[in-house]
Amino acid sequence: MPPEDDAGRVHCRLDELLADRGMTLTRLAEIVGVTVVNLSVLKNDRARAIRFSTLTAICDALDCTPGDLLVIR
Amino acid sequence: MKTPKWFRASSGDVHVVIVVAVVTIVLALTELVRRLAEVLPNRDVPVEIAPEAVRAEVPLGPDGELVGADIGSIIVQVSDLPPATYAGVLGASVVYPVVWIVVAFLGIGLCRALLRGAVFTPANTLRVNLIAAVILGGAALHLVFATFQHNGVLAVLSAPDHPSGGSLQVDFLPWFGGLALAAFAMAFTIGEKLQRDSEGLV
Repeated sequence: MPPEDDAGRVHCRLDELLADRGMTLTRLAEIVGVTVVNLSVLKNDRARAIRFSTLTAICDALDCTPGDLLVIR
Repeated sequence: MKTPKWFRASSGDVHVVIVVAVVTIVLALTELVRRLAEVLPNRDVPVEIAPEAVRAEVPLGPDGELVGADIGSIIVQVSDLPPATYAGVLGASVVYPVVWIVVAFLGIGLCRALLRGAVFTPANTLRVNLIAAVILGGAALHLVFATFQHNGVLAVLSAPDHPSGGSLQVDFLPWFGGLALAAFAMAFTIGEKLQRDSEGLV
């Protein structure tokens, strides 16, 4: 199991990707089928894990790759 | 922590459990005090024992007619018990009321946590494990004390050259209950781990 602290080094660039595409979090939540609360958790780097299905859906909706969405600081 | 929707509907049941636990504490305390008052003076202490195959006639028939009966257990009054027997009688009297009091307090703590919406938490896992351990430990301790009590009282009552027989009757209910709760505690431990693993999952 990876150290707990490493989860805090993963930064989600959802804010920037949404701004680039002029899309709101609510609209993304509708497209992806995930609640705004959960997307907000992801956007604010409070998520500790992400389902492959959520990741795939977000990448499809934003036309990006997982590497564009998640970076390690 | 916010109370989950599925739990809010059954919070009435939890309140009922709390009331039952409080009643249990009161009854167990009453029993504990009553039994201590009987045992501590070491004079005419009523003790239940199971003698070996006693056949007697008891007035249970119509108009008090005597009918034959096999006596499974009797209550005898004994005084000036030797230290080991006295400890056995005292221990056997005290263990279960104390167990019920501790279990009821832990149960109330668990119910209060559930009402706050805290279900699979480390504290609750500890409580459930403690409840199982206290019941199983209490059953084991009671068995030891009850053996001292049973054999000691029979020895006190019988003549040295003509010892009375009898076999201790073991109540298996606390053992099965404790084992069932131990399995429940294991499930709780797994539930706590699953919740921890899924926290922050989107």
